[in-house]
Amino acid sequence: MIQSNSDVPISEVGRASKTILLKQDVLILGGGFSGLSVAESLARGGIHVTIVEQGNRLGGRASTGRLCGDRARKANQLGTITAWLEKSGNVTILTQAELVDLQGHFGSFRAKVRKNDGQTVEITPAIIVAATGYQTLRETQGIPETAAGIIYLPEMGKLIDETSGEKLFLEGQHLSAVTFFLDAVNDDIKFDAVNVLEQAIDLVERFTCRVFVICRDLKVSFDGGERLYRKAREAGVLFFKHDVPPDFHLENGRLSISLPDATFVNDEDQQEITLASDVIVLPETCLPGAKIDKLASILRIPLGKGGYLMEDNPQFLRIRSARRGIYVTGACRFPQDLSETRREAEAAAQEIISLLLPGTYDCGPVFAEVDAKKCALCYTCPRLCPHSAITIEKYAEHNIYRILNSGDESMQNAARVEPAACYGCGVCVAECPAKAITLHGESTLFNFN
Amino acid sequence: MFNPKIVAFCCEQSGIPAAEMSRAMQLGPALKSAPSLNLDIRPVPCAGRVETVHLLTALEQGADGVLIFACHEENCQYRRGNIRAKSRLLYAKTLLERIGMEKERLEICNLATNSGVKFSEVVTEKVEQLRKLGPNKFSQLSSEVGKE
Repeated sequence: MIQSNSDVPISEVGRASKTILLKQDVLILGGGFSGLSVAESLARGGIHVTIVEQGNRLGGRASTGRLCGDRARKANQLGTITAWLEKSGNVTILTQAELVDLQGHFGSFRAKVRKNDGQTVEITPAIIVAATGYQTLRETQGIPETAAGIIYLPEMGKLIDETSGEKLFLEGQHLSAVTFFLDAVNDDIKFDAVNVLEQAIDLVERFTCRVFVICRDLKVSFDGGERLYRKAREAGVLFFKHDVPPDFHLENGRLSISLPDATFVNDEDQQEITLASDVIVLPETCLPGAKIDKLASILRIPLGKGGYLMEDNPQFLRIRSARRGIYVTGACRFPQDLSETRREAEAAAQEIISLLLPGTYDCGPVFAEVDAKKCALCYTCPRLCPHSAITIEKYAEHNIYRILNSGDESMQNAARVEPAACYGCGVCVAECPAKAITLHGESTLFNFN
Repeated sequence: MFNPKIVAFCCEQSGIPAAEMSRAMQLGPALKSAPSLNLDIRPVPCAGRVETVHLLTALEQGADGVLIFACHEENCQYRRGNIRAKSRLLYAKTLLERIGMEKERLEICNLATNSGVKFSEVVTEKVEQLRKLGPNKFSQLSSEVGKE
């Protein structure tokens, strides 16, 4: 059996060189499905939560549009969660408010939140969760409109839910043939496929439509995805793959779609097929939220692929950011199906609860320390630190670079590494031009007696 | 039976999760009739934290073998730490050659977060290999020197 030096878990070797106190207080940015899920888990765990929501009510997109997977159930769930949170004594809700400044580090954050009326509130959480969601864009991609027009997935979902008869009408037109066109946008997002499959099945079974799905790859790597696809196929939904975008034009008032039949292996054998459709359903293009650049710079975490907030390691607790104590959950990290968002939210809550419940955090085993006397304020280390653990603060009693008789101040500015935020990587130690930074705890790691 | 002492520098992004997974899955030579494993795991934020001198110090102070567990090349979160670790390890091997110690006592293994099985396989193989090579004679030498 793998053993570490003692019965201590492997990654805890040599800790407890410096300890900080932790309050059971978390700040959650964003009151959508993701933020509310984290808030509920934390509040039930006895931790005080402050939710800062930019809009005027909680719920986000999930409470208005029809999103995905088991839609009715998820929408009801959100109502119950919101109601519970509003009554809970452990929860403070600030609507029409946004984060404007953040100082401090894990365990000692100082967040400034500004409300729409201009008032600012200072919140001092131990941990921050970014759950600010995403935004969507509607692009017709040059497709001509029939009389029924072009409809987007959320509206089609709503139309299906609200129609009780046996036929489906849009803009007064009876829809007998419906085409879903996927993958021209959002090529790495899965929840379009969930929506399309569920809606396609409804259209065939309830309204006897002919349904065509045109996609590049059908992403069924979600719970029940393969079964849903099989159900759609068995119901008679026809799927067509495309490599190049199909040709769209209007013919006799209907939309005519031409594409090569990709079921033939050889390109030469591929005949062109033409589909006639009354309406085309498109997914909304997913984009990072409008203010995400500003948020990333306030939180001092990087943006990743696609412009979303970057997770620390996508394979491994992808809810962590580059900074200890700041978590990223939900669509602001990457837009995904609500069931995955829920799981991520629970993972974040679990990790936060296990960090906060002991009441203290043991820094280390290895962390950097700046010798403030030698710091020349060259700003190299705050810029280089991959974990944003270094800030310039007024705490040095002496500094060899202080100009004599230059207006005496009791404390000097110098770079300071927050031990609770430091990962012990050693980048600052290596790069400091004055060799003013040392790594504590090295001996615990590299001593083999 | 000789139980080789192995020091394993494990990258926190890949080696440590793999080691914890291996422990949770209860893999390892401990399951067979062999005596329990003498494996000393040292977590580092990145394999690039490990310097040549650390590898040699470990051997000097009694390890029979030293392993580095790093992320796959191109996957390093600090960009090239795993590549630096590899070149330092190769340099250390040339030094071992010059002093007459077996190069096989040092090894680097690239794995990912989910590689619990690979972790235990590499450790098991290394234990077998070190059993055949025998204990690290140089560590006994240094303790002799210290006694003078």
